[in-house]
Amino acid sequence: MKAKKNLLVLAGGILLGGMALSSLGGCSGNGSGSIAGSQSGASASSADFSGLTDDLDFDDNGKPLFDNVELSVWSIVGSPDDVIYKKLIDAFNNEYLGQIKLNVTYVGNYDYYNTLDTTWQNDFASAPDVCFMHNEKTTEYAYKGYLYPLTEAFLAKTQCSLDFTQAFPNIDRVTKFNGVRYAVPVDGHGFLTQFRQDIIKKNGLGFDNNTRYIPESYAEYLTLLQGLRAKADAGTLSIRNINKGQNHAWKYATKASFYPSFTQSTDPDGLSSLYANGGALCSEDHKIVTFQNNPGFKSYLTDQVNRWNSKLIGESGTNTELFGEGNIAMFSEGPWWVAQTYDPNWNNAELTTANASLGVSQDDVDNYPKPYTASHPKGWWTIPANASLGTASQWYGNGHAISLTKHLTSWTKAAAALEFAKWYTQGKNADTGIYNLATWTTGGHLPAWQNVYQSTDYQNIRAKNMTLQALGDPSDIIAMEDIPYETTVFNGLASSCSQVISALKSDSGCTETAALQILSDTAASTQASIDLLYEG
Amino acid sequence: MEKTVVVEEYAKKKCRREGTLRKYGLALAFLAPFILAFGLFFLFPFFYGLYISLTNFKYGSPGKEVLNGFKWYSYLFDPSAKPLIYESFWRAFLHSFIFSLIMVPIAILVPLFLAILVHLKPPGYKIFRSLIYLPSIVPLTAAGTVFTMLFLPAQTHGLLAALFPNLGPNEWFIDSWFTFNIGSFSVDVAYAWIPIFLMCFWGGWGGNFLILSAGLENVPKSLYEAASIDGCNHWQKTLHVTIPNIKGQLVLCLFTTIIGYLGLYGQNYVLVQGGPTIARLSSMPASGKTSTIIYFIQDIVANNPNFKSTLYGLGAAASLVFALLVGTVAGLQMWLTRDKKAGTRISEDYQRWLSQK
Repeated sequence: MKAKKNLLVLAGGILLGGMALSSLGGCSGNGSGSIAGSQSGASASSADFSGLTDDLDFDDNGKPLFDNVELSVWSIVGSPDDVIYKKLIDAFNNEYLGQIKLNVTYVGNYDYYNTLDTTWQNDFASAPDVCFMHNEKTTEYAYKGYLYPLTEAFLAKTQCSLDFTQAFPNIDRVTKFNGVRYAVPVDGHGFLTQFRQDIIKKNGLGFDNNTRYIPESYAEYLTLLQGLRAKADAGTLSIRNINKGQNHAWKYATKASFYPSFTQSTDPDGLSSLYANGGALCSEDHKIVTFQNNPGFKSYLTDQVNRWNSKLIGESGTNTELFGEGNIAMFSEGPWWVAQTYDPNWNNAELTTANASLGVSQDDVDNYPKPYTASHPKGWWTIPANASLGTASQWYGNGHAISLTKHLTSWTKAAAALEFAKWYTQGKNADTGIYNLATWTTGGHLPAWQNVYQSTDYQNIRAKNMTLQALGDPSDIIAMEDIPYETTVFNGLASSCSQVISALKSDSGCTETAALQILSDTAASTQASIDLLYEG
Repeated sequence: MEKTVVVEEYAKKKCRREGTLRKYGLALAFLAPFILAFGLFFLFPFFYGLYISLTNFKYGSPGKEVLNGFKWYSYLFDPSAKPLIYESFWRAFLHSFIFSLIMVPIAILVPLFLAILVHLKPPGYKIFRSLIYLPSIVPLTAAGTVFTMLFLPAQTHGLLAALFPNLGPNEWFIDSWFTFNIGSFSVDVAYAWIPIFLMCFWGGWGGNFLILSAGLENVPKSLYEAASIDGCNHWQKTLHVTIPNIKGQLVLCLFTTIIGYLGLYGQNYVLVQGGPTIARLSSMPASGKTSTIIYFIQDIVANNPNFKSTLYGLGAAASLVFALLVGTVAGLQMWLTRDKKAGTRISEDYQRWLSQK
């Protein structure tokens, strides 16, 4: 009995020892101590630069001196944009050889934000100095306390002369939280809609006497969809296959296999409908979810049910194939795909030479040589009651931004990071004199800076780049609001869209009432989640 | 002042100390790694989790938390505190519990039946044995891909939809099968449970089959011979000889299967990510019609970075409630399947049988 007791005492001792050791280990998990941000909100520590050592030296002209400063940059830029991005980074490293070196780590789109959080909280030493990420994440990380506010005092200390009045305010708004800047905007972009203008023209469904094939209002957009649907249902819609190597002769579409439009994702269009109709995701204090109250967004959701029909909706993954075959007249996709993948295929040379064996007539060559074009939404979701709003023709787009994290330990590093941000957005190539940002835009991004957009460099690039033409004017883009819990709120809106689509796909279908109920339920759930997060 | 030591007493004490060390030292040396691991990876997390569940612990800043009483537990048990959290937690609980209730008997009886069949050693039984176990070595993600392709809708070339166009719904991963009420809860049963069930069944039978087959090999042949002499047929032999002799293996299978299916997560994740979504819970943890209790915990402590940063205490509270549930069910099962002392029952039965003769 006593031996058993001894054994228990010994085992207990070992356990307690282990627990004590583990406790110590647990405490050392976040070596950052007070440096790493917490969920206390950005306002609490917004102007706290105590983590930066004052080691900044200046040359005779008052410019910061850099001596082999190394910066760790995390980039979200993936294929195919990474080719241009790497070129620019190499150019920067060459230009600043011996002064600043950027060590860029690419973190995939789906992993970036989780990895950033996990690294920040568990392995602070490996966290980045600079984040090159989507601009709408700025507020979330500013709120978490990860980012330095780029206040006037901060910029003055580093002698950084970025003139933010040149930034497009509609894109720049997302890089500020409660009026304080936390990032340097780089670009703006959004989903583009691809059009089979040959099908629209051939069937006489174009506008302005069949000379314009891209709708420019809600009414025109619906007219086009309904016209395509009606003709397909009647068996009188002419379509053709434009994929390379296929027979390109015109034929009639089969009712069951034709889709007027094909939405790759409803989230961006849903947000466009909200912003174009003067709505907002949240109240100004960021605490009340408001997207469910906007008539334009409601209309966007119920349109999925009423005006369009289930034949509008297809499955992602097969849309490009169907588009080439002519079984879809329009579909949406990211801008980077447009220029790099589809333009050479769908506007291919086979369509510009008469060839009986391929089914290309002289009439086709003369009238339909370029079947494919693309456009951003042009007031497609703005309901008539809101047509006079200043936002009526605007559309939602995100973009990239450069932010400085609290992993930076010195003012010299902070100045080097700002030097990079300035070089990328306002600098010019030493040899060609072209804006570096203009070079970056060739991948399918609109510059977030007015002087770059208006420059001859950019306009020359734009003239040859269909993606940039399709993206249009940066002043038409509306970036997201500054929301601390952007992911949660945006997911709420996106979820309402996807649930209506799911309901439409289901055997029981979806009604307008059901769609509005889904919206109401989703918004209530999002609000409950936001309440929990603020309370937590 | 000098202390008087009785030599005899000193020798006894020393002898006892050395004896204890000799007697238990070796046992402790062998047990130490386990005790250490058990303490580090079970007891410490358990008590630390308990502590977290009573605080406003933030994942990114441990050590700065303050006690907030039973706030997180009130969210789980008081429907008026946070109605949507309450609903999502108990829905997830019901999903886990009901699925286990259906799955566990099947996951034991089918492998048992197969093990008995294979134990009869028909021609080619070794091939059957391998084939039966084969699904168990297929990784979950690979099996998930296969089952996804099977149940995709016709538009995306789902294999079942192509082979049997009129079988089931068009959208297995979206449509609802039927609804039923448990108290105030209306439970919407998604068709997605069918692929999940089949994947669990197909991928899970191999493990139990292996354990039960091994058990069958160890049943003494003499008992079968004795049963044959007593005139038992195959069914009686199975019922009165085989089953009692593999009780240990059956209990083990039951124990691991119950715990396994109460902790269901992987199959739901790879097939439908816990969906289809319930609109009124869409921003809550475990918001889907196939979300389980582990999904609820996982959504808080891993899947949603915002929840992870702020609601870790709720995740810890849910984990402890779940642990309590599993412990209760496992304990109940162990109690029900415990070895009961027969006393004089066997001899009395024999006497009765003899008198009847």
